[in-house]
Amino acid sequence: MTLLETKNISIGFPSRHGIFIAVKNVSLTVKPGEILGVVGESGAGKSTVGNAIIALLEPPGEVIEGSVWFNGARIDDLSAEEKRLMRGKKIGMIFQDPQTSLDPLKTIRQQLVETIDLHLKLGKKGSNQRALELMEQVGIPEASLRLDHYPHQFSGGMRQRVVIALALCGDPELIIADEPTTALDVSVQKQILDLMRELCVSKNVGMILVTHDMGVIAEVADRVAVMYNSELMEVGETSQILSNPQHEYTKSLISAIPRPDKRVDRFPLVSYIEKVVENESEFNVKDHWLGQSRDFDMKVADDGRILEVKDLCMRFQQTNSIFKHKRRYLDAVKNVNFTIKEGETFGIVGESGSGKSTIARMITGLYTPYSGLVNFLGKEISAISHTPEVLPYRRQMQMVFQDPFSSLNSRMRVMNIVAEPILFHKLAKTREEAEHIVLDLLKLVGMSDDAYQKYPHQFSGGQRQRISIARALATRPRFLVCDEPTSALDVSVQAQILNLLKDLQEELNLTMMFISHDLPVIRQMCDRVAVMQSGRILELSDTEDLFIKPQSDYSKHLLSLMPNLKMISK
Amino acid sequence: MAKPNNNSKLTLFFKGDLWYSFSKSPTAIISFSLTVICLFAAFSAQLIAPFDIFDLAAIDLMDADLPPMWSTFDGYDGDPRFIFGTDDQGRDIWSGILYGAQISIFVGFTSVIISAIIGIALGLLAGYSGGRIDSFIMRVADIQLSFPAILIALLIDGVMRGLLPRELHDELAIYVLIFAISISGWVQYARTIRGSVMVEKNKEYVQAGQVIGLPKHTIAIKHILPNVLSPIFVIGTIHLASAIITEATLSFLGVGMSPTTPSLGTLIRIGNEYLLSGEWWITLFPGLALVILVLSVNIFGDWLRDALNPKLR
Repeated sequence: MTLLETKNISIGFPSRHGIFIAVKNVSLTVKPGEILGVVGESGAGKSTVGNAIIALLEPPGEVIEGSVWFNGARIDDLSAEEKRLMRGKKIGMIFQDPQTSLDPLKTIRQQLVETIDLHLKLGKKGSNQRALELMEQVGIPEASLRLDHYPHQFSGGMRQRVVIALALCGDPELIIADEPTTALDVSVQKQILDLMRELCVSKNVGMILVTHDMGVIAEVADRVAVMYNSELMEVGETSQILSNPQHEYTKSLISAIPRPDKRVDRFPLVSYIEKVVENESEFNVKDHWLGQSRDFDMKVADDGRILEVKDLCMRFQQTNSIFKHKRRYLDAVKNVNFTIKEGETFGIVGESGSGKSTIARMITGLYTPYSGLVNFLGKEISAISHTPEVLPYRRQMQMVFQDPFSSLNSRMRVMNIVAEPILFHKLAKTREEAEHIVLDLLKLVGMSDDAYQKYPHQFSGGQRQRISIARALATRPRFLVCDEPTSALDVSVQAQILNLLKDLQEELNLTMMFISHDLPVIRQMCDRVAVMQSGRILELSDTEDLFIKPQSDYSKHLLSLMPNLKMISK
Repeated sequence: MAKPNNNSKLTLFFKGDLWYSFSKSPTAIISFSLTVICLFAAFSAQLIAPFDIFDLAAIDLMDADLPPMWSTFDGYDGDPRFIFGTDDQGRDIWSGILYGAQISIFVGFTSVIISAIIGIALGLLAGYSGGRIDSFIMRVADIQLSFPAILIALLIDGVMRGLLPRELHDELAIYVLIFAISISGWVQYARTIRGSVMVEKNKEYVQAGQVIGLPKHTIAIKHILPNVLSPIFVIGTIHLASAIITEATLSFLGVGMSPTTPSLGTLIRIGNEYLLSGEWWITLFPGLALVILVLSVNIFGDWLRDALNPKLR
């Protein structure tokens, strides 16, 4: 028997440019006790399906075709009031961000009791009793004490547990979870997923789990629906989809997932989504501007070291005071040492707040270190960040940023964005020459011919990241710092960008420092890795060694949290 | 090289959301048309006004105190030459309004532009450099904000009056006014710009500029400034209305434009003296003109603010 069925639903958002169809002819079924994963990249329409089922579409969106059936009764044509009563009682919802889905002014008890009272009418005592039971079920220690706390007193993971308890208040038969673990750290994500799995089985509740993350799907879903571009591509058992996908899109999606278990040279088959201008280097880089003049007076040391970091520390002032002893500092980076050799890719991995971005910013001169040395090409560059003397060294070092939406100046055309470093450093004799170089650079990073005259907002996230890379290459750097360059991108776009970075490194003989929180990505990209936790490097070893025989407990712990993708074929 | 571009800024504008919501909003269309009509009328005063009010030879005291053409006052009938009647000197009120509005609008526009330039420069400096410079500029702004703008304008006007000889003062009155109003209005621009700059300077494109090695002033002017300018148009429009009002108030108080080169405020003040003796038209018509001008600019400014604010959509 099926719990929920959507029959060919289409959802449209009318606007002055006509109706935008967000979801086209999607048919899904969920059985009691089953977790159906809905997976897709951003803009695929997966969240809209979830919102439509629970009738929380943002106006002016509406279901323009098809029907939704719940326990054999049609629910999409109910009145707004009847739909309101369904929500919470029959269908519960778990939202993405636990920071914002709880009312910060009410205690957990008030929020739970209010919901229970509304749906089950148990009376004061019964409601409180049930609230306590729910808190215990979702695994919150000292539940009776924690009930009277406010949301800000809980950590992110605990808060998401409370949100789950809240979704369970009315004893729903179906739960819709929209990216329930995206805002959480990996270690917490695993606990939450286990909890959701366990609750679905024990309470015989059906669940629709909307996510962009194949790792999450592999972990908990029984069946998977793959969505792309508002349409349903493929539905099937999780193991079948992962190991033997039928649709071309699914194949491409699966192949783009960075594999944690072995290193591959390139991600295959990733051109389904964003057509990349394939140019197998029409020009020979060695003869081109890009390959020339590398300021040969700046020699790499004999042992190949290009960058050396010694006892690097960074502290941020947290509270200011005129009295020295009352000032509070946060030590973001503590006594970090490492060297990077020419031509290698050096990775830094760690959870949020571990200080990895701070290191990148100190090396590139955005922060002045509290103490310690940064030695680049034999020149100490940390103390004085921007004097004419250091400028040639700084030019050899460029950075690719995390957020492609804020890293390009939206008021400038792509041509000017990429040409600016060339003109500033006087790397071209004339403006015409600089513009030619820009066109070649854009071609090199796989942008189409007319890209140079557009503004950044006319491009997708992946394309912007390509522009960002082109800008970084425009100073002819030898050393490229990539600070989470793909964490804001969809997985298939990530694969393309990672391919691009690998190609560029090979062609231009770049040295890279690659920062990421994502271990599988690190494995694909890096030769050596530093594992960081709260400002310190815990382990520094070759990538293969780290993944095969990690030394520190923390590395072992991180590795154990990697999503289990063994089911993926090959 | 960047020549072929069929998406010119103009076509983009007409396809854009701003034009769309403008064409759907009667308030915006009416207030905008009224503003344009007022501006047009004022700046073509030399062409459309029936009399030149600055030409003393054309003024005949025999025509003084005539009521509007359709009414009778004190035994005198209105004269069809003077649509809205004449003042105590025999000057045509309608011509006075057109010339007066020209001066009012000129003073308003100029002081808005000067305030905006001062405010943008100081706001950018404060927001981008931070620290002591920021504190200093913003404290000055706070102090200035604790006095009403009109008081500051009065103060500046008073000081200028003391410094300049009397004959020169009447000649320079308009510049003193512009100076006084601009100085009293920069704070709002500076605050807005500073706030936006502080948001923008933490964005990654600014860091990218730093990594490239660009000097601070290049980053501030070339990268940050274009990204923080859009609120200025809204503030500027609304400030225009209040600058015109400030000008009128100062002139009304007798510290602005002199009666020989009257602005709207001066005209209202002249008429005010005759209000109690029944000659209502001398002050009413300039007053109405001021209300229509300021109201339409203000309403258009309000609409612009709402239309450009994505949160209110």
